[in-house]
Amino acid sequence: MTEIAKDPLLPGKAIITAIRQDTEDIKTYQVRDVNGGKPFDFEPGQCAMLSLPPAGEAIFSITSSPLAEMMEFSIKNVGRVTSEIHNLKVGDQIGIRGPYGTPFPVADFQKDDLLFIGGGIGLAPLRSVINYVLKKRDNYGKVDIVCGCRTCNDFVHYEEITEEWPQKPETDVHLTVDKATDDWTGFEGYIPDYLEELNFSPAEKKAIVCGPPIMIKFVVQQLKESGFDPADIYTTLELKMKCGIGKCGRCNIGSKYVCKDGPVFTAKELAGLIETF
Amino acid sequence: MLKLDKNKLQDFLKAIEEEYQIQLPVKKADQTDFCNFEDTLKPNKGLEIDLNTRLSVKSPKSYLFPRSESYLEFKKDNERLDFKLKELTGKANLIFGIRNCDQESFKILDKVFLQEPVDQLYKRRRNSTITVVARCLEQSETCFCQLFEIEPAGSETGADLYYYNYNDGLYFTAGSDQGELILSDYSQYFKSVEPEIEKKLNQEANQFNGKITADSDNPLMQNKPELLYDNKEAIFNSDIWQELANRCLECGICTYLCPTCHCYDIQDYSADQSGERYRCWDSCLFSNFTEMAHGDNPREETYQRLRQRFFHKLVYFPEEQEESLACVGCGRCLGSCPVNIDITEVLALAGGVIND
Ligand SMILES: Cc1cc2nc3c(=O)[nH]c(=O)nc-3n(C[C@H](O)[C@H](O)[C@H](O)COP(=O)(O)OP(=O)(O)OC[C@H]3O[C@@H](n4cnc5c(N)ncnc54)[C@H](O)[C@@H]3O)c2cc1C
Ligand code: SF4
Ligand code: SF4
Ligand code: FES
Repeated sequence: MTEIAKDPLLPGKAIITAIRQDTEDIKTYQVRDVNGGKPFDFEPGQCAMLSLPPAGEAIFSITSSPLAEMMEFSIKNVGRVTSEIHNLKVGDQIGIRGPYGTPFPVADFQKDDLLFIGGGIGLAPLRSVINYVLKKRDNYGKVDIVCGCRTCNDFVHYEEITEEWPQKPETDVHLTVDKATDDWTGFEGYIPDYLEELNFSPAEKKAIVCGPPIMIKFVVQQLKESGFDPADIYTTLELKMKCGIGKCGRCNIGSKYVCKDGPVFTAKELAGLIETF
Repeated sequence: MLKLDKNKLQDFLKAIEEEYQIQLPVKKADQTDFCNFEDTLKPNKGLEIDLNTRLSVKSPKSYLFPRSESYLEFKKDNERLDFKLKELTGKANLIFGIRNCDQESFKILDKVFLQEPVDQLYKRRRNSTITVVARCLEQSETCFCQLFEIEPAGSETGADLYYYNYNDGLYFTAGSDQGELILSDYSQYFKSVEPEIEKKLNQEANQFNGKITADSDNPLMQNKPELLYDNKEAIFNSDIWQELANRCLECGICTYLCPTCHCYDIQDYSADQSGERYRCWDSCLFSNFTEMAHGDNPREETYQRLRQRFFHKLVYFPEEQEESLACVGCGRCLGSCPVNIDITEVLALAGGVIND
């Protein structure tokens, strides 16, 4: 019996304890184990498979910090499972299994300056690291957070980004939108253009990038050009996933499975991988 | 070594059927596949136990990793949700007459499913499966297991029992304690074997196992899988994939019949508020296998998917699993592809690419 209980494909049960509508198609869900607390321990950058039968399962980054007493997911409504999740109410139960994937190596980041660059929903995994780092503020150097979205209505966790983070010591938040409205005071333009203007020095700095594939591509290229060592640029990959544990054969790039050897990779690791789809 | 007279085989199988669900090669309408022994006893089914055909059309991997396996029951009751893992019921499986290539394919599946985190669905079937290997002393035209260092006449361990099919008898040796136990529990069916016969059979087996690949008359044995591995960059970028893709129908039969292909999909099936979750075989040759939201697909083109199938077996799997190649040379993909694409053609082309 105990052996069966450990099957990695068997979801545990969690309960939705809060829901916030962030943008037109993104909601953030607070999730707790049915017996209270976090459903399981994890590290920043790891993912969980959420289960909503009969719609099925889908994988999401855990966006809350591992130090929080619950878990949060920011979920964009794109299809079968995600649209069912968007119909859930506080108090509803869902299945959850994980944690999956390799985390961001936050221990290796100690003492370094950190540059976070997030595009759209790509901020989700970064937020887990950011809140972890800000909680253990003294262990890390200067923190710069660059966030970009299509419009100012597309930011997830807007209040946290604009109210909480900038208040932390030695922490700067830089926002940009593709298309500004009249009341927008931040930058207008794509993230790579904004980065060019901000002109960060690569010295003693680690860059952590997440967003749509095309944005990642341009940002990584630009960081390399401005002198960042590819081994100091971290990013995450997204491929279709089913099992989450390196067995269903779906998410490989060459001999690596993104669900278990990723989703976090350095630009140096990716340089050898990306051509091997 | 112990002998079971062939005319006692049915009685022996009937006896061990008390303990095991027996699967064995059966011929029906000229096609040999593994079937329930029970069914061969029904006279109207036209099924005939076939101990001679070397290669069953379907591989016996489905006994460890079923084509479709419902593993979870779920129930919804307002906001409440319950999951329950389905229990495996029934007797242990005994696969009788499996060839050593298929036996070795189980080791490849083991590497995938039994590495951490252990797939318990697979493990519980694996642990309750007994295998009885029919030793090969001859190769078929489509066989090339020795290319992958598999011994067709069988090794000493791996399976629970091994037998030679020789004249009027089956000559058994045990490969595990479990096999030993079967031989002693059912000793009334077995006779001792004259030393000359035992010696002759073992000699033949050693010779056949040791036959060096290049000596073989079989042209398939001239291929060199390591060529592909050693020159993976050049071969990855070569034109052969596009040429092969022009023919491939993406039917996926090669992946379904292959004993080492292990890709699967997970789906839910429901009747109202309750239902089941199942996993079923999937194929890297299907275009929706890796297709993501907004239509992004890292392997959009047929040639990329075809390349993935062969690179997985011959490059990625060995990279990940201590140089173990994920092909056992059974030749099923040779025989079944409607447009004759097979792994030996790929190996031959890859060799050609390098020699150019
Ligand atoms: C490592 C990782 C982390 C992720 N983190 C988040 C997150 O924090 N928030 C978020 O909103 N989304 C995240 N995603 C994407 C999320 O998994 C997909 O949006 C989700 O699986 C779509 O499921 P669905 O059933 O609603 O869509 P479906 O109805 O299954 O599909 C709609 C479309 O999406 C495709 N699709 C199915 N599964 C995936 C997948 N895993 N990735 C991409 N496309 C898929 C389908 O092929 C189809 O084209 C993440 C994906 C990965 C791989
Ligand atoms: S690739 Fe072909 S020859 Fe190799 S194990 Fe699979 S079906 Fe058999
Ligand atoms: S069997 Fe042949 S045609 Fe069918 S998918 Fe495989 S290679 Fe393509
Ligand atoms: S999701 Fe199954 S192998 Fe990665």
